[in-house]
Amino acid sequence: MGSPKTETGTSTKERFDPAEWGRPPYAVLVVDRAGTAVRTEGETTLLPGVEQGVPLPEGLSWLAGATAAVADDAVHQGGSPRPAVDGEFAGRRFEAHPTRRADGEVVWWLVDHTARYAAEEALTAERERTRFLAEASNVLLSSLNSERCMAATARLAAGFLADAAVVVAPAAGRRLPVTRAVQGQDVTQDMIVADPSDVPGLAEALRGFPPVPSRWIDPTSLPEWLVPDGFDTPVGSVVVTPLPGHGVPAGALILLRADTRSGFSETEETFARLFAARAGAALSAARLYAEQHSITRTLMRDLLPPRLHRVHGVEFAGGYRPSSSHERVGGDFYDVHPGPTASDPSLVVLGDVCGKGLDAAVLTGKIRNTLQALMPMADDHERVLQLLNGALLNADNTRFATLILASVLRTENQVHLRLTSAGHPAPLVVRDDGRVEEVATRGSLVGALDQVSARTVETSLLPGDTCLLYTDGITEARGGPLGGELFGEERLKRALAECGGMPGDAVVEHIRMLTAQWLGDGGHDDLAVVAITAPRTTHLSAVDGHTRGRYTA
Amino acid sequence: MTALPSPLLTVTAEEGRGWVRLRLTGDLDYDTSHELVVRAGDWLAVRPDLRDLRLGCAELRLCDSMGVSALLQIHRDAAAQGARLHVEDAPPFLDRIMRITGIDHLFARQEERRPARGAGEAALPPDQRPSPSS
Repeated sequence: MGSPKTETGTSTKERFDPAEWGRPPYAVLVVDRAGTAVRTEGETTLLPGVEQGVPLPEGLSWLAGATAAVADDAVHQGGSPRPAVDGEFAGRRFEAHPTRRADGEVVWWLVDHTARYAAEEALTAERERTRFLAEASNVLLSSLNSERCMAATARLAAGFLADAAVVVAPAAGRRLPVTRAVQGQDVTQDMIVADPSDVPGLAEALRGFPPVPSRWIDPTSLPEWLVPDGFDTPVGSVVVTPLPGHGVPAGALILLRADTRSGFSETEETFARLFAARAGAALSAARLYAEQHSITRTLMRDLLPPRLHRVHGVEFAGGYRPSSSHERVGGDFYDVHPGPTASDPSLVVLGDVCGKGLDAAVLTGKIRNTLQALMPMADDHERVLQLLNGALLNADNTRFATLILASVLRTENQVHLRLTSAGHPAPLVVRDDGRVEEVATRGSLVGALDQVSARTVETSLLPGDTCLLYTDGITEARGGPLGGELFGEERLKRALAECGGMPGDAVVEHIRMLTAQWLGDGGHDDLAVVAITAPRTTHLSAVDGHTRGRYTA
Repeated sequence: MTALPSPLLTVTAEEGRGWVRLRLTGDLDYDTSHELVVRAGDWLAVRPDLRDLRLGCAELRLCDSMGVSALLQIHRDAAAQGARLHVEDAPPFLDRIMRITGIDHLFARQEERRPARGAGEAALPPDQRPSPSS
């Protein structure tokens, strides 16, 4: 059985007999070289104005032209199917498939693809939007900086959704942070004094109410501050969309189109909302992050050990390396509380709170505050420890701290020390000549026992001597050439023996460097060290400009 | 025994008249100390007659500050019902930690231990003994 397409010769005419073949489901036209419709069959209703024996109407000139090309191409005859031709007629899109008859007339099968083209166009547009949304998500989520996030939102919206876009963030105080972008131009960000209720729907959008349809907004009523500087043509249409955040609105997005373009269709407004949802999520994430960051920074500023310096003629140097795990504020701390005058002892505290993370940080803060308050009785270490223990003790847990208290007083060129350990590794003293001594103070940890006791030990530092207070993060550092080995007390003492006569900063740096080398890339606990050093130099001068210069520095 | 035996710390229990011994193998640290406190608490709850709670530490490899906190908590819980906490066969590092932190006086040490096998001690191997947490 042969199909009409492959048949040649004039005898095929009869094969089209509708009685035998039925009505063809497509419009079929036989067109001659001159562009006259010789015969019509099938769905001719799709081709109004096309009549048998009459030249093809103006709208089908593309078909007449194609007919001439096919008629001239006698060689193609009988081979593979000729390529189809696309064209429009009477509001429809057709794909026209030709067969050439021996007499040079061309049989056209016109397949109606109007619906398919529409679907394809919609698909292309949809793909474009998806691609845009994907790109938008990438761009928006790549930054946790809220200014950059707002700039990206405005730029993306101006580039794809409108001619210009304005992002209005919730008011900061009495100012409104406004980010404006015009397609193809730089984004500008300002804090302006303006009333959001000047723009219809903006105040509502900033409170998270649903968007106002663009047809309700009169573009001529827009305040001047809303229209970006580089936007020269009059505004033709406006859309105001809220940027929904996590629970709270992250701002509003305003889209502007020039009056030379058509307004926003409903699809476009819906799509703008999809974009706004993504932008809003990114913006509120950025804002939450900024908030959290500022809280953490405030906490850290308060909890991180202070930078140490010379106080009342005594050198103090401190080194702190937080734990390698992500909880940055750890359990090690130190403080130097200067004596009220140079003839009063200063109190040095170095401690280690058990556990890590927020719990440890909170306990650390408590201890540091309590000790500061106990400064007036700082001379009686055991009493201080008992009061601190009482303040920390609670029935819920046995979290504790170990610490060293050191009262430090310079007299002439010596530094007099009173040291008390509360369950903490004993301080080490390295003499000017490199001898290392352990200070034999002992006591119980604080915060977990009903009763605490401690023994205070006194010693003196001569010029060049250093007393080192440290946390067990140093001695328990695991690493070394084989890995997994403890740094240990003996190694610390040997390292310290090389530090005789060094300034305090150098001693701290030396110990830090050695432990860092020992640890290599390995994880570690908090490390803290404080060096108390009797200065070597003996020339006469005022110590810090406030005292009378009676002591030598 | 326990729902999920931690690979970091294994606790096996044996008991006799008036005493329970928990043998610790592994690390007593931030990740495991809470588990030991719970285990010891369970034993104290099912054995109100307990006079001596013994921690067998011969196989303990590590004890950090949270481990010390756990020992203090167990000591507190045991003392609340009149039981003594024994720390037995403490390795040198544990001795050192308890000495430095000034808590060694809290625990009965095992030097006077050796109740010798027999006298009231159950003959079952540890893993077949009843456990409060099973």
